[in-house]
Amino acid sequence: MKTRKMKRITIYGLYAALACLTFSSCSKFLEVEPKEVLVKEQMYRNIYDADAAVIGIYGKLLSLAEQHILWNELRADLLTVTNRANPYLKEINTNDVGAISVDNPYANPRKFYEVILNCNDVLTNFQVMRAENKFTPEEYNQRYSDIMAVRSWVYLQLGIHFGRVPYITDPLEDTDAVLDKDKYPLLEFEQLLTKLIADMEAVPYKLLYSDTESLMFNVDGYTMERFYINKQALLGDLHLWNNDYQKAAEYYKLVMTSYDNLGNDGYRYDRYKIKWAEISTNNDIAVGYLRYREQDVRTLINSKTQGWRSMFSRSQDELWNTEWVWTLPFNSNFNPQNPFIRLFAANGGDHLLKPSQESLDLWGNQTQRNGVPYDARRDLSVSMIGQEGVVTKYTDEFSDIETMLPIDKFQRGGKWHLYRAAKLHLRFAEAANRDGHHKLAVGLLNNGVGRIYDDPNQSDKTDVQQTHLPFPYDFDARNGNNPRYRATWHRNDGLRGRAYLTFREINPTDSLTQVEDYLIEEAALEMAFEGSRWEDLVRIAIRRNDPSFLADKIYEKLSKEGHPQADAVRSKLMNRENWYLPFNWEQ
Amino acid sequence: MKKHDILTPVIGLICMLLLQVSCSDPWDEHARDNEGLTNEPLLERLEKEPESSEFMKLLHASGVDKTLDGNNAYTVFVPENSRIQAVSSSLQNDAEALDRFVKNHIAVSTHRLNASADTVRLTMLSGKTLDFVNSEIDGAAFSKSNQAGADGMYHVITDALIPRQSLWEYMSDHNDELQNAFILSLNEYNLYDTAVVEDPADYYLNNEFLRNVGDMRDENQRFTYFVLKDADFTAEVEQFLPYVNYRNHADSSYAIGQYEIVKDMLFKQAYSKDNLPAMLLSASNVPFPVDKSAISQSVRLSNGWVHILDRATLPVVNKLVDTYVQGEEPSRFSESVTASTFHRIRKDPYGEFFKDIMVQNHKVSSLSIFYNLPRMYSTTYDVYWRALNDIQNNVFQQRVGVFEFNPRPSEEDPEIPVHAQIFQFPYTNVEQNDYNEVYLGEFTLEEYDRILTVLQGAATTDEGINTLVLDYLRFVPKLKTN
Repeated sequence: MKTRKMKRITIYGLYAALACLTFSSCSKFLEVEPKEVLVKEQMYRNIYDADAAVIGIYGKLLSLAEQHILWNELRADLLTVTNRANPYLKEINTNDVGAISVDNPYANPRKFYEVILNCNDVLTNFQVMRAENKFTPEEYNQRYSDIMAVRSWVYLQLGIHFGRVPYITDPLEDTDAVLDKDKYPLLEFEQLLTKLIADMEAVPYKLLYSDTESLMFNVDGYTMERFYINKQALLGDLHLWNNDYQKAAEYYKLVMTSYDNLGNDGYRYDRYKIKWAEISTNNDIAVGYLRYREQDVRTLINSKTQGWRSMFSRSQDELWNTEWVWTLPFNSNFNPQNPFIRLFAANGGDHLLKPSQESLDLWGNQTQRNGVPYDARRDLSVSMIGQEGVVTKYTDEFSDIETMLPIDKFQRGGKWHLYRAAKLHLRFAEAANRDGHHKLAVGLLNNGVGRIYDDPNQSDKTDVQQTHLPFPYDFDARNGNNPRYRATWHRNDGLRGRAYLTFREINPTDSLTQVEDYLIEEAALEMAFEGSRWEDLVRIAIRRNDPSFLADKIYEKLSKEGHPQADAVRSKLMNRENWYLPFNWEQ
Repeated sequence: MKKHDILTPVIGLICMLLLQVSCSDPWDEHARDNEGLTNEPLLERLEKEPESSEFMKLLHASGVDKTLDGNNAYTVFVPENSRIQAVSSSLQNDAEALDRFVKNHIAVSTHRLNASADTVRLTMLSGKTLDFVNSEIDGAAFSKSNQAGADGMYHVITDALIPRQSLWEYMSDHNDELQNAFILSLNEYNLYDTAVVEDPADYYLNNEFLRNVGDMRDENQRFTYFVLKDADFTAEVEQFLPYVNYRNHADSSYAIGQYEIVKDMLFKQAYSKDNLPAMLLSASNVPFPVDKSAISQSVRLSNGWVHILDRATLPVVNKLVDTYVQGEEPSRFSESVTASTFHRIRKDPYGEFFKDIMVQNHKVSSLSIFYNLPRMYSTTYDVYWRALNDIQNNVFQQRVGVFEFNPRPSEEDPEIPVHAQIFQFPYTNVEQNDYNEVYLGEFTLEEYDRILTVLQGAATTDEGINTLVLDYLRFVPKLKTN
């Protein structure tokens, strides 16, 4: 009896002890705020927190780089897979959207919504901060507009690749809630575009951050100026998608001239002007040869410090500043890691992607001004290993040009090339051409504004070498000695001028379509693999209501590599529905 | 209640039956997969194999069994007893042959049965390389495969792997035939007095045939070799002698004549008579027509096939192959004009890319570009050039000269060596934008030798007039008719 009673007491005791433990854990004194982690209430207290939030958004944005290139290049006609690529990459390459696996990670838009929801959260909190007067209106305007632009850019990408997407402006805790179609209906691309234009037109600040802003200080050796999205360039793109050519041209022109009054002559004459080649020194970013040896193909300037190729790997010096509008750097010391080395490099990477035969043929159909029967940008964008091409635009910081071996295999830095002057000029020309200014468009494409409006017999340049048109088509490229003129655009050399190519001849009766075709093709030659090809094809196909503009090009890529589905994919792409990736992910 | 008494054992039985069925497969299958895998040493396993007893006798007799000591893994291909009995008498009194025979059945490392259509080349301990493909090794099928021991693996095969001769061994054995005897004689005899002995220690290196046409000693390469009967061989050489007049020296010319015949009799791929294609291309690009009806005998070798020909099948005209000189591969210039020398890339009207050389604005009168040519037959040649004048607005002239390759002392000053002129073509217009070959004329080479070709610009320093440009020169040897 005694033992049984003892047992019972022991059991009750244990219960009691357990109960004590349970209750005590509810007590507040144990709740210590973690020191290493920010909790929500601590996040938006002052300008420095706001800056951290902005940088955080861009850090998050970097994680979209891989998919951005796969969507815009691997889906399009210039890039294809090697036999080392996994089946998911092959699905993206084939572009039969109905046959894409449900679990294909490259087709999954979830990461894009993570960035959007982060932006929504930051935007909401910025408004709260502004209401609580935690930063000045100027500080608020710049940061709010920046994040709004990032969000709009991400939405534009989603719209281009998915056609119909939910437009969400609330900060959601749970990314999967995006898929709730009852709460967030899918928006047609055209409706989405209207929303994005309204959002962006409404932002209170459309310039770059002002020099005095803390966000413009150098960070980790990077100049921050071109780190942030260019809102005017984005607005230009949005209006161009919307076929509002005048507006698009206006915004592009603002970017092209944005440095004109901010510094010395170099700012005005060189920045975003597609400047001519320095033929005696080769200290430029143009295609060039050693002077007086232009006939010798061995003297092509193929270097990381001089000539056209150098723009992809040179340090952020004055020449770099003349071209780049928006780039985001990868650094081995921080996440996310550079995805491009794995995709493209043959040594130190997996060489999963390579230039398509179609892209090599496009370059092969050009003639340089010294008679060399191909576009030198081929050899400056692609190296060959045997019969297989290797895209070098993303790996020039990583590997040696000659040997293609990594300089230091642990230094896997590089850049996500997002926007540069060439794209700006080609898109401006696209808008101008559609707006009736073919001649100006051809000048920007071929040999520069000055030359196309020139009269070589006239030594007095007072009335030539300029467009005599109102903004945004006002270009003054006068370069005369008697009387002396050195106008803003006098160094403009045109895209093909800078690339040392022979010029396109325009047939006047069909110039609108012909010029547009040439502009889109020039974008392929100049900016292959830089993430704008699919965009370009889709934009023109929609504008002309001609799906074959897109379908034929994808067909060329697939058929030239003997892909068995080339014909089937072509006929599927003739239906706009089949341009779009399936909008879904596994929750 | 009684019902239950009966039911219980019945149910129990059914359950047991079900159990037995269900647990049959996985482990048994696993065990079956590894049938033949034990931890016994390979030698012990071989001793227990009933089909290997005859081979084991030879293995022990040869002493090769000491190699299988467990320090390395080997694969042994064991011929069935009946097969060994058929050959063992021939090996009894020849220790060397026995050793070679046994070693021809053993390879280093373990090799599982290769059932695929991709050939695996196994180097046996004998040094011979055997093809292992489609579940056969050197044509022998497997009656038992993948028998593994701790230090190796054996297979039982249905034929003995009798070591075959290599092409070189075959030739040495048949040195009474003139064609073979000539090739063997090159071990000691140099065709040209200018020859440099590359390595006196390896006198085979001096053999021009082994060095330039194909190293028939190599067990890892595959060859097809045609042999002419002595009379046919002599007749072929006699017929070709006019093309190989070397310094008017009969003996040397005859040796070179023989060499020029044999160099087009060896091909670097193994073809049995049945598999021979209609046309083969020799190392010097000579098309060799195959006439199977002319083959009287074929011998299989460890590294290829020998086919004995009843009659010669290669016409002389086939041997007269064009010689191309690429403009962008000069050997030297008369003066340094590096900064004016352009290697260009152009596209011809057929869409083919080509490289050429242009030397422009160099301010040198009569600038010369030199090209070294290989040995050329003593005959007449038609000469053509392709030279593209596409960036100048004027027609200019250049000329081609042919000179002796080896300089001789000049008549004026014996200290200065000069290249004697053989022929000089006149200055010829380089018309604008002409992508066609231009016929320059013909010249005759009296002696079989190397030559030096010179492309020379106009005798002026005027820019645009003294330009030189060349895609290629083509020398077309002509058949001698007499």
